[in-house]
Amino acid sequence: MNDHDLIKAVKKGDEKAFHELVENYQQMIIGTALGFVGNLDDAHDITQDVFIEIYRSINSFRADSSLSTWIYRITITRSLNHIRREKRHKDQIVVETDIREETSDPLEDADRKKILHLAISSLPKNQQIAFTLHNYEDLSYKQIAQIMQRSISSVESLIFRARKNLQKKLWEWYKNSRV
Amino acid sequence: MNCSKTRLKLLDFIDGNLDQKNTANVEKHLSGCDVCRGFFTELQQFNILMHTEKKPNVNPFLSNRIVETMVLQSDTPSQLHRRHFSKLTAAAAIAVLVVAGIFGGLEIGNRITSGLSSSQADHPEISSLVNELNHEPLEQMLFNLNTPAQ
Repeated sequence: MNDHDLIKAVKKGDEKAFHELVENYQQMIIGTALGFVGNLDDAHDITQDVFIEIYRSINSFRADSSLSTWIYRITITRSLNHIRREKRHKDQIVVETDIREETSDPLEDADRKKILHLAISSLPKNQQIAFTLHNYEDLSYKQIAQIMQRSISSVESLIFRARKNLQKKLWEWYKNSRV
Repeated sequence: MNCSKTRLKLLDFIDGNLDQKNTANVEKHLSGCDVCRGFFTELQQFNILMHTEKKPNVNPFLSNRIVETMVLQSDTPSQLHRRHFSKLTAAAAIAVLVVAGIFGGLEIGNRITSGLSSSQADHPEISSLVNELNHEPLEQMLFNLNTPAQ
């Protein structure tokens, strides 16, 4: 079933069609959510919330954009709300650095993941969105521009600045961890 | 190339996005600078992490769990619409029944009253009963029945 037929069937309440929609898009949603929150359990929870929202608001989907663009937008909003709820602000990266200093154990992947996602989530919101969609979902500038409703050149600039900022943040963390 | 300039090019260096000249400059700096080399190694680890997170393992039962949760938590869009519609229909039906009941009751009452008055002449026995009830309300009659005769 293509997206158009799928939407039609889901709107009619076809449970099988909804099942197919979940199968088709769950990987995309989990991948995006994971890029934002950095925790698979949280990404699964966000995925469930996203599908509930799709289910409830499918009647308002006007097909002005593609289904995937619409789902990406819902996923981004849900992920950013989740981050806001978890209060993962940029100061926390300092806390992580302190932990690293106290333990002086070699950095585990789990810790590295936390630091990376804290650094990403401390980027300005638009840089964070563009960077995550580009790096975790391998989306093109054009696709990101459609999702973010911006020009391609603006997306290019957002990703460039995000990479530079991320590099700086990770350098700050690295510098402090060596003291 | 100094340390700060090198550091700003490291992510592009890792991704292979630098031209030959810049790649050679970064390589040269890294070979002689422990700090930048250490940072470069860490950035490589972060980059590997990002790639491993790209295609996460999806719980094979996730779709079932989601659909089950949806069925438990809410209705399908059309069911929601239908349920909403059926609630409105039920409310409207109740309203119609109430109104019909009131008017029907009034109509029946009128018919009885007018029917009785027209048939009083034809059936004097009914007329006398009705008249008796008018003069002797039911409560009074029951009271009299329960009261022992003196």
